[in-house]
Amino acid sequence: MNRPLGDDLRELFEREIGAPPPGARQRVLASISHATRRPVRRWQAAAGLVAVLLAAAIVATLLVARENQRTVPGIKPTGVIPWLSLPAQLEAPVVPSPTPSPLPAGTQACTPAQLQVDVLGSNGAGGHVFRSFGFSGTGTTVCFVQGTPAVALFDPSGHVLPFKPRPLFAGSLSTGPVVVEPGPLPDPYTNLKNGQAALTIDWASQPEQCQGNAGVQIAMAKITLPSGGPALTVTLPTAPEAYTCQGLGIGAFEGPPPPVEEPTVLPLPAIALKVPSSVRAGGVLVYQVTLTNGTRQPMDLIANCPNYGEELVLIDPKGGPIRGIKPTFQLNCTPAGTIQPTASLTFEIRLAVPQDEAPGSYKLFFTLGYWNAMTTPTSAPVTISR
Amino acid sequence: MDDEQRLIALAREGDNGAFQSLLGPHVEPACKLAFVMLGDWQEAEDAVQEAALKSWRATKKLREGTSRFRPWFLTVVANECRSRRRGRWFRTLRVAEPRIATQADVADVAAGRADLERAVAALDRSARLLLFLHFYLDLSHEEAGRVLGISGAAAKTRLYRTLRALRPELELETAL
Repeated sequence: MNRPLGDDLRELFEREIGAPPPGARQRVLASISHATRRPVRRWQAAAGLVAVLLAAAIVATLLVARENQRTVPGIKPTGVIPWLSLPAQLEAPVVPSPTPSPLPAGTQACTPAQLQVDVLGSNGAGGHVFRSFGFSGTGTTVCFVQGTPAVALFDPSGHVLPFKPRPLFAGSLSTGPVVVEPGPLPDPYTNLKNGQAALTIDWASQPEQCQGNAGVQIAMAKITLPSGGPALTVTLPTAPEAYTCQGLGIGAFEGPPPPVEEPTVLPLPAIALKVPSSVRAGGVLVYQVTLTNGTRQPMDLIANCPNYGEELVLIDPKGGPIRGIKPTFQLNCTPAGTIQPTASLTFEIRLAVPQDEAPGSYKLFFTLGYWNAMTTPTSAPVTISR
Repeated sequence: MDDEQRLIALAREGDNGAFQSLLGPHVEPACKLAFVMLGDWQEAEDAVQEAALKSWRATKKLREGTSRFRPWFLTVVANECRSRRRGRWFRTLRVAEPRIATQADVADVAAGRADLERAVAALDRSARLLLFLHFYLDLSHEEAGRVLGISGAAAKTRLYRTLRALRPELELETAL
């Protein structure tokens, strides 16, 4: 007896989709925090200009201080590091652009007899159906494919369909040579491997795009390499009706994506909070965060300054609305320098509590991290009073 | 008025905290929806971030009495994804097509489930998206239809046809 189909589908989607990248929720919420500035009035603009000038002076001073500190490694500040309002740094670090592998010397262009081809996958976007073909070598020789081949499509009766060739609807990824090695055809659900190539074509799939034209069924493709020779024939799976008036998009041969260097996930310190028991609505909650380096490596906070997120969540036994303040800032790292293994540093943090924040028992949640990783939130109780 | 309606009312008045409280639980489902539509996590997160900003700016336009934030926000996310797919930058991410099953996986599961995986993999993107919205995100026909830009009745009809194609012998009354 079948399980409920809904359960099977839920399980299938759970397995195939997985989870978003770590920190996605924080980054999305942080983007809202930064976008909520109110319209600036004239007097506010003037005040803002003064503030900008002051900020510029402060930044210049800090840059000088930072530069000085860089020249004194291992400096350890004493006391509590003061709070400074700094916007969170949520941009991913720039990694070098990957470069494709060079073509081995002496490699010849592939002939049709050296290639095998099959349908790799299908996709749809913008009213177009995209079909991809996977290629690998059949003999014992390495060769290469390059450029855009000629592609002819046929209906189930074997009649050629009147598509005019045009560039691929979404543009081609690359036009460089792609090395093809003898081996299995690409797997539909994984990246291309070295020695495999792919080609994508597209056609219009919506009748509105070709009003007055009848749809056609596509059953077969014949691919002729740029260097000529007999065409490679591929049988195509059933697809929605196609419309020929917008032509046939043909891409260039593509190889596997060059390897991308992933930015390192940096280790994070342990967090301890020291939070006053109460604060007034409209006041500033001043609390302390002690960071302890539990790793064996020094943590250079100047080179890699973490962001912190803080959240005040109302604990309402009656089940009222979940009110919260969730800004994200960057830690004041300039005076902090490096936290040596087993050492600790204490930062002062200030959180402005809105005037209209409902009085009651709250929990302060604090997290620390970078664009691609955050600590588990640490929390402490705090009461907001009128 | 329940908690969500109170938060919606506050967000309409410009309360950012209320908006973030509304938004928070839906970021992950939104990212998954965007991934299903775009096939790439980084693009998906960018799309959700842009959709969140647009939603915040449009909060005041939320109709008085709007009772559910989730379908409204997911509609904004879906529109953002469609917009990105139409853009010049969009590439057919063949390599990012969600993985359905390897041969080893198939060997481990019952034959019926392997058939289902293959059948889902063969569906077009919009049919897969409809299944995802209804069965994975638990959206009603009306809500899923709104995300897809079609009526609830049309969503129900498409779902019926898709399910019939997936499992012809299925008792559709129970599945729908």
